[in-house]
Parts: sequence; structure tokens; C-alpha cells
Amino acid sequence: MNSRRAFLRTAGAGLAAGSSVLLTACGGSGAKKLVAGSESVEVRESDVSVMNGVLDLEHTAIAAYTAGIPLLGGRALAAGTRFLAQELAHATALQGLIMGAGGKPNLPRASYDLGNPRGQADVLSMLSTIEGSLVEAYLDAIPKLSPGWLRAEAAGILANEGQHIAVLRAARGEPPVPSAFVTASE
Amino acid sequence: MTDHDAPAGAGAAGPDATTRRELMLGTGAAGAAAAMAAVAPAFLAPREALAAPVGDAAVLVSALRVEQVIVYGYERALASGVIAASAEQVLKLFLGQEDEHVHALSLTVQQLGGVVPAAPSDLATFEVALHELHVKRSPAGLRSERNYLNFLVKLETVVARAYRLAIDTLVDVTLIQTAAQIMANEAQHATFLRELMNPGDVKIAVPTGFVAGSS
Repeated sequence: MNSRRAFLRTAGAGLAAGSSVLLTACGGSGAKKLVAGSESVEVRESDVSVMNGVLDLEHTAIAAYTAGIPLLGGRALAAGTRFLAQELAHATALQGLIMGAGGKPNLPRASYDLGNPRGQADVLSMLSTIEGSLVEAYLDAIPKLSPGWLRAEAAGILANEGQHIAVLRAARGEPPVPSAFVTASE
Repeated sequence: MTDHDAPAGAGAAGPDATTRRELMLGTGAAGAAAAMAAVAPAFLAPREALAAPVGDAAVLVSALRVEQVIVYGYERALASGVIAASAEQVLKLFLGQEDEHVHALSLTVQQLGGVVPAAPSDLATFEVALHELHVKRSPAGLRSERNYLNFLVKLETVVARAYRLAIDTLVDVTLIQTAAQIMANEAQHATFLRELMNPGDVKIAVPTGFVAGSS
């Protein structure tokens, strides 16, 4: 199995599973199982470094959603829960790709400085900022990835982050889709 | 989805986008080029365009054909007379953004020495283009707002798929980044079109963490 199929299996499994299952997989054992036996013939060492860069930000996003969800209610809570599951799936997929390429995925830090959000508005602001950072990171990373299929897979994640940022923007009363060209600020 | 969500939220972005579209549609090619320079700073500068691989032009022509199809799809939906005011505001915004994509791609294809294909101009040429994209739904049978929104969601996923394929193939770094930016915008469109049909259901609006599009 090449690393592309490893990615697809990882992503598919992540989507099929509930968030609690994904939380388990995020620790590493799930990802390892999903890519067991994979051999990377396409993903290069430089790709591993790039993917670890975005994985670091995915870990930050996971920490932020996990910390912020208890302060959300109603539709914002439903969106936050949904997006946490999707960030976990992204992290799991990236971990699988990195390991499939013989690399070592970066681990989450012990703690993250997320400020001191006091309510839903603060949490939505924090999440919007982090989603913007993710968009910026993926836009920077995508052209640096060497196999075309890997760029396309990363673009699929970027597009999902674009959806997140639009929904969060709407939740804050801002125009959700302000630009025809998605950037960190738009 | 959230308590303050679209369609009202999506519509709130309308005036700015409408202004851009009016600028581009109302001032001819020179105006469109100027508008693109203003709204898509990440796109190719002429010097970079000349350095882009020749194969990139063909890839962009493929993406442009799909963009032209969805522009016609939005125009047809807006002319149908069955779209309510709240949805109409969102569709106009998204049509304006699709227009921006078309203009940006057209300028870049021309800079690369390629030929901009003819856009669908009537139902017959629209249906031919849909057939070429393997879209089996015909716009002729659409009767309700929901019919049209479903149809546009389908077209948005086809466009997203086209950009995904383009990103797999393109060589020029700037083109790859811009294609990724547009693909993300198409995914946002699909999200808020689904939201219009299923208000508040984020599982439907953002169904997957990996946007792949469809053929």
C-alpha cells in the first residue's frame, strides 16, 4: 500500500468514526494502526517536514476547540463539536502520512496559551484566529509538497478549514464569504 | 451552524461583492483587469505568468470551462423567478465571486498564450457543457428554489473537483496557491447553499473534513 492509499484509508476511517474514537486515534496508536504496512515511495523527507508544520497547528486547533466547546451553546456548540471532529481527522490523516513516509509525527504540546476566553464571543474569536492560521499554513504548505496528489489532499483539508472559518465568521455576525479567494483574513 | 448564521449572514457580504461584480461587468476588459488586480493580488503578475509552464495553461482552461458552466448555472437560477429574496442575495454574491474566478482565469490563460473557451450562452450549450462534465441533472426540469439550490450544490462540487485535479497537476507555485484559494471558496459556497436548504444543520452544511468534490 502506498502512502496515498494510506491517506485515504486514514481519512475515511476518521470520517466514519465518531469524535470519541478520533480522540483515541489522535494519540498515535490509531494512526499507526491505520497505516500499518504502508510504504512511502512518493512522499519525501521534505514533505514530512512541511506536514509536521501544519500538524503542529492542527494540534493547536484541537486544543482550542476542546477548551472552547464548554463555553459554546446552541448552534455554535454543534458547529464547534463538528469542527473538532474534523480537525482530529485532519491530524490523524497527517500523522498517518508522516508515519507512512517513515517520519515521526510531531506530538501535541503539553499545554497551549489560548488566552483567557470568558464566553462564546471570546471563544469564537479565538477559533477564528486559529482557523485563519491554519488557512495560511496550508496555503504556504501546499505548493511545497512534491507529489501532486498530496497537494490535492492538503487542498481538500484547506477547503474544509475555509468552510470552518466561514461558519465561525457567520456566528460572529460577520460576512461569512467575503472574498472569492480564501486567505487567512478572508 | 450558529445562531447568527446564513442566509442573513451570507447576504451581509453582498454590497461589497456586488460592487466588485458591477465594476467588472460594467467597465469592459480593461476594467476587469484592473478589478482583478485589486481583488486577487495573489494571482499572476505578468512576469510570473511568462515563466509558468506551458502545460499549466491547458490545466487552467479545463478549470475555466467548469467556472463558465457554474456562472451560467447561477445566472439561470437567478432568472428563474422561483428564488426567494433571502436566497437571491446569497446567489448574487456567489455569482459575483464566480465571475471573479472566471476573469482571473481568463486573464491568466491569455497571459500564458492560451485561448479562452466560449462560455455557455443558452440552454442548449449549457446542457452540452454539463454532459461533458458528466453532470446528469438537466436544468430544464428545475421548478423550485430547492431544485435550483440542489443543482448549484452539485455544480459547486464539480468545480471543487476540477480545482483539486488542477492542484494535482499544476507546476507554477502561484497558480497552485490561487487554485487552492478558489477551491476553498467553492467549498464555502457549497456550505452556505446547503445551509439555505437545511438551516442550522452543520452536519449537512459541512459534511466532511476532506473536501474532494465530485464528477
